[in-house]
Amino acid sequence: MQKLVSFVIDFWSYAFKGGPKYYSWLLFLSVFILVGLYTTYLQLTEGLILIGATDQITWELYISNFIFTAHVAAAAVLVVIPAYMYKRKDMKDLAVLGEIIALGFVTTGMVLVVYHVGRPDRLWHMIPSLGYFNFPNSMLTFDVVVLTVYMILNLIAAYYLFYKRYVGEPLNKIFYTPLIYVAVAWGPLIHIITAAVLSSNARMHAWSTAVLPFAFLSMAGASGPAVIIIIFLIIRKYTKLQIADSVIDLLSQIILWSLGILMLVFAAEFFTALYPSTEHAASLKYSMFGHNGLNAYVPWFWSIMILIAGSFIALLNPKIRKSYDRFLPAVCAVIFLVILLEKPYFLVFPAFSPSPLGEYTVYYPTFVEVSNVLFCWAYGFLVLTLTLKGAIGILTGEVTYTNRVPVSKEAAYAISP
Amino acid sequence: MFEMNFRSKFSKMVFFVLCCFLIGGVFAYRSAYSAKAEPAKTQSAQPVTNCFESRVGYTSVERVENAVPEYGYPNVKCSQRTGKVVWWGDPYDGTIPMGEMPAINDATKGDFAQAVVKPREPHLAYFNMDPVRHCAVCHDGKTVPFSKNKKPRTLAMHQDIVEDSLQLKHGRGAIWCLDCHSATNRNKLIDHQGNEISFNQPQKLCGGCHGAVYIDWRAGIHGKRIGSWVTGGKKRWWVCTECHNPHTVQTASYDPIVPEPAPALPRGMKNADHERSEHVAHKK
Repeated sequence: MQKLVSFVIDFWSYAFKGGPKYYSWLLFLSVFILVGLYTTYLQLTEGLILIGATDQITWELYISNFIFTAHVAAAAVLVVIPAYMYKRKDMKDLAVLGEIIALGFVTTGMVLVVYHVGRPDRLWHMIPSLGYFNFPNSMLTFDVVVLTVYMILNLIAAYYLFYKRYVGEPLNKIFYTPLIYVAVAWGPLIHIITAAVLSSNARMHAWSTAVLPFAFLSMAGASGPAVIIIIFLIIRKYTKLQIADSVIDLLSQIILWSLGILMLVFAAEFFTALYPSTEHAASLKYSMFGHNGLNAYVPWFWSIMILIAGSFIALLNPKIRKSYDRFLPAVCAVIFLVILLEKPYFLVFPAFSPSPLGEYTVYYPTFVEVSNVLFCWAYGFLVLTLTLKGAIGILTGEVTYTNRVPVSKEAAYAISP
Repeated sequence: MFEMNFRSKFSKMVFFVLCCFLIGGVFAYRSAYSAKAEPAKTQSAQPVTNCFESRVGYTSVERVENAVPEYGYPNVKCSQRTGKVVWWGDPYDGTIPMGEMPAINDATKGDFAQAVVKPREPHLAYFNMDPVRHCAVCHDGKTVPFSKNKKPRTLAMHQDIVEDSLQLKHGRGAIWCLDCHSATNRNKLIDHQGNEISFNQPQKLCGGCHGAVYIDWRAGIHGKRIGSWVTGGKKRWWVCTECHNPHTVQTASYDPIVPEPAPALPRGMKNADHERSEHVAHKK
């Protein structure tokens, strides 16, 4: 117990220590958290009327962003798989960072879902046996189960490893290895189920397609490693943790081929919808060409498609893949943003037009909604930053039980750089 | 030295946090202001009290506040534009049982035990000229003698109901007043077999000729009803004459009501011009 308490204290006190750049990053995030706390209060007291959802477009920015966070959370297993299934030495230590990234994004996603729920105080209805858990009819039930289990799996896997490293004991392989393998299998599962939540809606012609899970997994394979590359490049620039070039190269290869598969999936989907050009293609045509001059989503569609193809072509060039300090992070940032913006502006909002009454509409997010989304992202990145910082302390061996210094004011300040 | 460094860093941090609060406060005020301003625009004007249910002048209802004290509901809410009742606080307010209905092998299986209607008699102007004897105050066989036959003749009165009694619109000359109104008991209607029918049950009379639409009405396809949706459940049925004027069927069988204003555009939409333009597919 003594060890556990000191682990928690040491882990989190290391997480909160850093240079001016680290603090300014944390403060940058806290701006959005402070504003977001107030807009959250507004939404909780006034209700979902404050957001831009309409009778016609009922899925707002929260659920759109949630789908994206599920992308990244699912893709984090792409760091774990090479380490544990392909036994790559250079990724053995980094696997746990993948779990942390998964954890960060899955919690962000769950917070976004809480915002999506009109009355979060009624969420207890989802607790089995207490409330009415609509199993196995509701796809959302499956989604809640897989997301919660995924979060718990990663929480246990990551903190178990940190604790064992901290106290300097070997891992219990019989316990840890199956846990990792289950978590690896669970990553794609959360994403397939999230795709099923969408594609089970027969009325939403743009979603009701068998390729949706493939589109989601390939988008996960692109956007997840993109954010992981950026995080790894930052980690190896600013901390003592060593991350080999081979790791970055593997991840950029994964992005490249994921983008390739994604383009094929899009092409297959567009062909299948547009060649017969039935009523089922109406949403897609609305995205691509607009409807009688209502073309708010047309620029989004074409820029998203061009940027996806452009990123693919750019990454084909080995010079860009090897440009670790300039072009690679830039391309990764573009991929991250494109696939993030693809969610509301191609996947979700245009899919609601035409409505069952044939209305074509445009979604206008409100300030409260945007601020709450930024709050969720800031919260997610804050959790991610702090946990990664603590994890780096453990992995570099700076934070161990044997190195432990008595907690006094002078000593605490002394370690801070 | 260390102490100084820490202090300056700490004070910078505090300054930054305070700035964050300031910026957050400005944004929060802005959003709160815009959130408050919006509902004020949609506040409705004075509620309409002089309403009608299906036909202007024939199905009048007065709005009464707190008619359902349990919930504080008024009896009805009416359209600002037309005065048409669009909402009922108590769907069975002022209703009476529909009464005996013939059982025919249709969707209802003759189950009208729970069916209720709003009585028509209180809405009939001449019927209520005398609160006790009703029409019979004049049509007693002495003041106005009973008619010997059903042949059309010029009427001395009731031109406000039927302008030219020689050219009754209903039936294009095939029928006349006394085919539906009892010759000897003017407080009642009369069917083909001579059975007296209450003004509150016109469907039993109308259904005698208009069989197809009568079957539709019984099945719930034609007309309006509110209350329980279940077959045989407690339901208020609108009877024929609540919507149709039986005397002017050829010219004004059913007065169309001015439609309600179009619903508000979805939030943020400035216009719906894209809905106005012709569909390309239809141009061919």
